[in-house]
Amino acid sequence: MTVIRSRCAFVVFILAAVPATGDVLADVPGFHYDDQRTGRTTALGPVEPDVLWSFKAEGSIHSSPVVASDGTVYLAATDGLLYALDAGGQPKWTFKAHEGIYSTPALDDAGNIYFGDLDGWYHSIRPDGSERWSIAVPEGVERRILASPLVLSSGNSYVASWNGYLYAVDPAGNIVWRRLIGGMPSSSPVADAEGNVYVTTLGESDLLVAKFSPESSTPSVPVWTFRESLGVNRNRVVSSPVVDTSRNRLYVAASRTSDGVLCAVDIDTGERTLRVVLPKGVLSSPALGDDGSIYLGSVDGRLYCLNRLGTILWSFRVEGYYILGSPSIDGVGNIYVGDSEGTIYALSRDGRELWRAASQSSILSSPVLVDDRLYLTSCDNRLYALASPSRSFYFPQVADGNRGGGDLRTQFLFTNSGDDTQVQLQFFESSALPFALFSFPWGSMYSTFSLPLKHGQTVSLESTGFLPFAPRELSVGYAAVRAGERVNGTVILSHLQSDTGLITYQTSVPATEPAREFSLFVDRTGGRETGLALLNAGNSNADPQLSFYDSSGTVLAGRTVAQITGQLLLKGQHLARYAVELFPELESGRIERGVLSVRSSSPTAAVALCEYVDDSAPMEGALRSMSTLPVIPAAGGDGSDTRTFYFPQVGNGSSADLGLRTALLFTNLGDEADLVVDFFDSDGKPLSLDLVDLGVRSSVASRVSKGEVFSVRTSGEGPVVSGYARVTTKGSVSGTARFSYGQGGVTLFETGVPACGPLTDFSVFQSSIANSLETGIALVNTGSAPATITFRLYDAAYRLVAVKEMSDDEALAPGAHLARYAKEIFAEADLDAVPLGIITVESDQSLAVISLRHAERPSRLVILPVIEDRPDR
Amino acid sequence: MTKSVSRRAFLAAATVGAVGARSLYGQAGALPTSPVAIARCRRYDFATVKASLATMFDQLGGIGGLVRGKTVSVKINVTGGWHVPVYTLSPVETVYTHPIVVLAACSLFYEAGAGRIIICESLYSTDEVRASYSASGYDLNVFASTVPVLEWENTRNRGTGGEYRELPVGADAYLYQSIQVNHRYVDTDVMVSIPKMKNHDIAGVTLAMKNLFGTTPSALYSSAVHREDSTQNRAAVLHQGGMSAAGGEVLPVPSFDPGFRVPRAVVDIVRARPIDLSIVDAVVSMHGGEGAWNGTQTGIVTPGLLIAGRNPVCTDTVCTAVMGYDPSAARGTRPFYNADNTLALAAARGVGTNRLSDIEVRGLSIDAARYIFLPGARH
Repeated sequence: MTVIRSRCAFVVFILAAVPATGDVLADVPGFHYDDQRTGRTTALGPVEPDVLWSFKAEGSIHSSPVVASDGTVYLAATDGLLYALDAGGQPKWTFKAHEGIYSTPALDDAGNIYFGDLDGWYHSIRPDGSERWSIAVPEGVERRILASPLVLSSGNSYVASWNGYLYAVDPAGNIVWRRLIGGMPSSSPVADAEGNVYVTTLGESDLLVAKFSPESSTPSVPVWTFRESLGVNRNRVVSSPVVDTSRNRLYVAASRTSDGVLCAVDIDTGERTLRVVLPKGVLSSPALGDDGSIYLGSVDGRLYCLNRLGTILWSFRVEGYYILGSPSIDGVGNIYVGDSEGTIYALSRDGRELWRAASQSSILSSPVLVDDRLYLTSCDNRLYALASPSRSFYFPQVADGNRGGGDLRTQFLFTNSGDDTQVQLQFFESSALPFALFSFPWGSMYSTFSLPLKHGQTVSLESTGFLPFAPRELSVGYAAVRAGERVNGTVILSHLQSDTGLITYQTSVPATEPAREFSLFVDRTGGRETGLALLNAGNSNADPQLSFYDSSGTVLAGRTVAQITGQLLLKGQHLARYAVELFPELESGRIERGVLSVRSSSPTAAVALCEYVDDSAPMEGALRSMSTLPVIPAAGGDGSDTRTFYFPQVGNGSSADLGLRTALLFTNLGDEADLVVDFFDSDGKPLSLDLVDLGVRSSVASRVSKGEVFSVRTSGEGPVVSGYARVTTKGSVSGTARFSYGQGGVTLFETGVPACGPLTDFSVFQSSIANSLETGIALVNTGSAPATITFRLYDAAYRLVAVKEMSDDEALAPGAHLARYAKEIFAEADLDAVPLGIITVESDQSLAVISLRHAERPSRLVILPVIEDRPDR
Repeated sequence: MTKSVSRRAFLAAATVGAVGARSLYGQAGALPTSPVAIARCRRYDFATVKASLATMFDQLGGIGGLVRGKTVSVKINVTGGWHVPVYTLSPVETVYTHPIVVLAACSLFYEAGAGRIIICESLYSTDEVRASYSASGYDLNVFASTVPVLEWENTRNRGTGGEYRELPVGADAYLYQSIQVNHRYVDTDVMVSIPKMKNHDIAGVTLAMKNLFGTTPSALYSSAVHREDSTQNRAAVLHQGGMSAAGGEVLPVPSFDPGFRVPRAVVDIVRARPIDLSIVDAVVSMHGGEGAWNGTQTGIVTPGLLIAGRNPVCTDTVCTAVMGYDPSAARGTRPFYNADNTLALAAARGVGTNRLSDIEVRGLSIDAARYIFLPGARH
């Protein structure tokens, strides 16, 4: 397969409610996934179209593969062979039918395989490849079976033949009843949720749909028949219908003389409820989106998206002449469809191209999605397995809606240093139910969507905080992200006053990869409270063990989630609680600081947010702060190596209009270890700070025992100074910082500042709004020589806007510190013209760095991630 | 003999035919063979098609020697001109030889020095010739501006000729001792067949040889009465065994089995009017039949191919294999569900080989080119 990278442009976002998928066992039992033939699955497709493997059959492949729960792929080919392949593409066995196979096989609950052949034989094969039974449909000269059988949970199956009959076959292979429906039935029977069976054919010059009720006393007598005049008696009905159970209707499409038609039929009455005329004929089977949208291809080469009212929302023109195959929809609403030239397209739910890849011949089938993998058959005789390396990470806390006179909003920032790719987003409430976070122009709210992300591109998505035309109750949950390997991102949670729109507080939620063991700082000093968000990102339910260690390293309490909440943390579920809610002992014992350790049998993602309300503030609620405390990974290594990390920005002091304080928090998950904290000014000279309980010092040394929490806090007194801190330790010591900013003795905000190690190549987000929002960087030259540093500013579309090289006299001396806003680094550039983008940094010396975004009116600071990658490397 | 033949007689005739065919299929030996070129071509884009054909002609040894200074008759396939879409797609796309393929081929003939090029088809329309071709989707102005030596002829009946021309089939004719044709098929130096790759409801496949079915005049082969203004097709005679105004049937006991008659008529015609060059349009086509009238058994295919060869049996054999069939398949098996195998019958008369192993394929291999055509229904 020739892989052609997407050429699409940046998109929008999309939104709709899809059932929570979690990680459901992969299984595709028949054409278009289910008895209703929705063409929709909860599985996700590849973010990029890399070929994992391909298998070449002896003959062309016109049907779609099906996949058993053990991963076995069944592939039927026109050479008359049914192939069983393992998940790696290796053949397990073949079964030879009487003639070519054009129908997509179907699986029953026991894994038996059903399919028809060109000679009119209907086969049932065991999962080991042995024949259960094969029957020849008895009537007629021309008896070929082209359509996929329908196998219901009862074990009965339904299959149509070109002899014009629909057959009901019991599990033993006996024909239970038959009904002459006429035409040359070529579309697959479908079923509704009650097991009623629907079949379509060409009746004289009509599109005919017949409903059968297998449980009735006269199962072979149609409950109703629906006819729609096509005006011609020559265009066979090839398209299979789809049942929309939530709207009690069935969609069916066909070709007329010079155009196409899509009808919606009430499945109770058989009455037409909708008719949409399309410019050209339809052979493609419709797929049904999670919001009721209908996707279908046409011989005019367009994939159409219609809403349930029949309005065409968009169409996408493929490069091949026609679309003869059928679309497939993944768990984030992406649509996959092939064209008559053999190119498969991945589209976002608003019709934007995500990627394309070319096979060597026409695609007549429907792509199949299973567990991050896409199976595609082509008339070039091949089955392709497409899968691509991707990153999966989580934002363990997102929120949207109104609470207490304010709106909570979630902003996502993503950038891509790698090849063109996409970002797939899914939002879940704590219960693991879908969380509709964004709305589309046509008013629908979506809990899943994807967006293309080209090389170097940066995007920002922000939830609205309200529903279209209606207030929104606060919803809280998490976001699951799947993207190309070099995609990075962050979330910024903002609370705004509803009446003024002013920011109450902001904080970032870093991208988090799940782990089974980690710890979190808990800070309750000065009236602060620390909240904890946990989500079960694994495939199984879990009961995480939570243990609280006080600042001396003593276990205060330990209990499981089930002991706290009364239930397990089910897969996909999310738990958000204040530490004091998890451990009431904190309140009774007046415990102000400690570490909460988490152990779980299932990968778990987490974040801790520290909330602070300055009681001295004149306006209650307006001066609430939220700062992010990092996840502390489990101790690793033997702790014998010396480690150095930095806090590239610390400050202390007060003046008439400014107050700064910095708190450093450390804990040690390993054996007892020494810790040295040195403070430096911007020239790299020792910086003396007034430290609580320690006095004025430029260096602090301590031995930190296992589990102990050690803190270094500046007093906020004295002249305003700033610089950085260097931490040297040999143990498994981790740390974080909290930066407080105030005016007039009132704390305006606090923000968490993560520790960082030295880097030479990295990038940071550029996010600014004229006179109200700007991005800054703080750097420390941790190398031994003056650092020549090149800053490059790119806009959101990765167009180079400005370059600044600091060399020679401007080179950053060893140990020196630099804190600059982007507008200061790129003094010649118009930063207002770059509200979103990235700044890449290249240095010949290692640098420690943090990035922040400062908002004016009111003043707020939020930390942005440092991305250890850059697209221009 | 009329069509009021008894069922017994009918069966007897069919049996004779079938037995004869089986014995003939087994014949082999040094049959004529000639290379066949296959090229990938996914679009009806003039430059692309022309470049593909140019390469293919080179692979076949060039066409200069064939057409330079010659009169070239180009038999295309617009199935008489029943302009009915297939699944809403125009017949130009799905049924007829696409004009771009014809234009590209004629352009190359012209560049190779052809003196006159006449595009021929039996159009059922009684309109003026050029208007009839225009109605079939051919833009005559584009043709004129590209190929100055181009002419158009409706060969349905006598046309511009003063009389029909009789072409002897030769020894061991299947159905007819000779074939009457429009003069254009005789007053020419080079005969080119440019069909669309399709299934045929009766013959299984319709390719370069079957395309010449349309060289037989309606006036003589649609009924027992010579009607020069006839616009009827030839099914009553060539399919069903009705008497023809042309006469000349050789069978002592007439067959009324279309599956017997159609392939044999094709071979007789091709023997009477040999094809010098075959170019098969398989960029886009239909399967299951040869036109919209085949109804529900049809579908759309997009093989994205051009196939050409000097020997029509070899060319059709390669095409048949590309379509996913065994070129030596017996009647009753796909694609010859309803008829004897035209290829085998042609081979049996020494027109060319239908053994793939005896045919050199140049350009794309058959395996790489293969695109399965779903045959029409069994009758």
